[in-house]
Amino acid sequence: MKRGLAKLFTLIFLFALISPASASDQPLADPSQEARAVSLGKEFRCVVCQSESINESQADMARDLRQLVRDKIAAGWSDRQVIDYVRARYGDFILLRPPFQTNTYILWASPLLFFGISAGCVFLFLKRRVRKGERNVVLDFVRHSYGLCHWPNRRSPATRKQDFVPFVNHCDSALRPRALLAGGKSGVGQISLHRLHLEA
Amino acid sequence: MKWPLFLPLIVFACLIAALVLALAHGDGGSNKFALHMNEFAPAIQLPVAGKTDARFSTKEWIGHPYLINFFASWCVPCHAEHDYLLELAGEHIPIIGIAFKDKVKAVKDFLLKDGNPFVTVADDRNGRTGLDWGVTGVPETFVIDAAGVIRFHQVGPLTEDIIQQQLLPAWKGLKK
Repeated sequence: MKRGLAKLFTLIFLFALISPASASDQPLADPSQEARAVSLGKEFRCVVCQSESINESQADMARDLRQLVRDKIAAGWSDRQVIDYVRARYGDFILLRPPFQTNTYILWASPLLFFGISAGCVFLFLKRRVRKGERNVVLDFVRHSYGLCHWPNRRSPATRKQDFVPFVNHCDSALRPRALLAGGKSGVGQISLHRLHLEA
Repeated sequence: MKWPLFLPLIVFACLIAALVLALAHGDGGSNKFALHMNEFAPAIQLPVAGKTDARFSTKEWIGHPYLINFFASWCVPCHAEHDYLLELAGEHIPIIGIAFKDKVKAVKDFLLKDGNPFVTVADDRNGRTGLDWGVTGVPETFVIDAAGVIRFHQVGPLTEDIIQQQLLPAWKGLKK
């Protein structure tokens, strides 16, 4: 059983060594032109297996497109010209990186949008709690993000940075044994203080 | 009510709803590459399959509407649509076959055995003409009008429905 597995893994490893793109491709003689062809090949989606670039794909059509890219580069075309040529024939979908244009603004803005929304949610959440009279919300937030150590004394609300120091020291001493057990050397408190500096 | 507690649930429900809607109404991930409609067809200059002296050129067809069919003997869906092509040819629609990345002998055997719907078969041995037309595979079929403009583009095999509802109306529209 074990030997069978070992054989299987050896086989997988050997297959991984076979470079897919080099099977019947003829690289351009000029290394700088070949480098351009390779980097352009990463931009184009294989028309057969659509989640691969033409460089990764072993499909016939992908190899033909790689060859076309090489031929155009050898003929003195610029990268822009090659991209425009292919895009005119296959549409925007051939580009693995969606172009920044009117119908993709939302797509490109979405990470920022989601970050903004979540930041807004956190802000509103904290603000609500401040309004409710819970003055140590930031402390709670910190405690929440650590989750491991518990502030021993809930009665004293902490608002200034100095107020957090004992809390952090407490965390430090509570967590240090675990950090040591996990093989870490650095004091956890240093990290916590650094975070507090950002948040307070 | 502690609505922030339910907020993630609501967002998640919205996400699921959006995905289900996309599944139900989406096109099932069919061809997203460009369909070529109402564009000038790229000029073709290819040897006629099996003939060393004859060449096929789309220039000679300016003034006449015709069909272009990219096919190959090794392509299974091409065999599936072959009878439809024969029917169209029987209705005196000129179809030009582009043998895509195929051997002349294999093409010849295929057409001798199953019948030849093509007025000409051009030999696109290296597939470069296919790439020039933005073909993502075979078969693909184009309706070209008298001015050389593509009026219909089918990716994949023709079916009865596609012919009756799309191809033939497009073809008849040219005749008027």
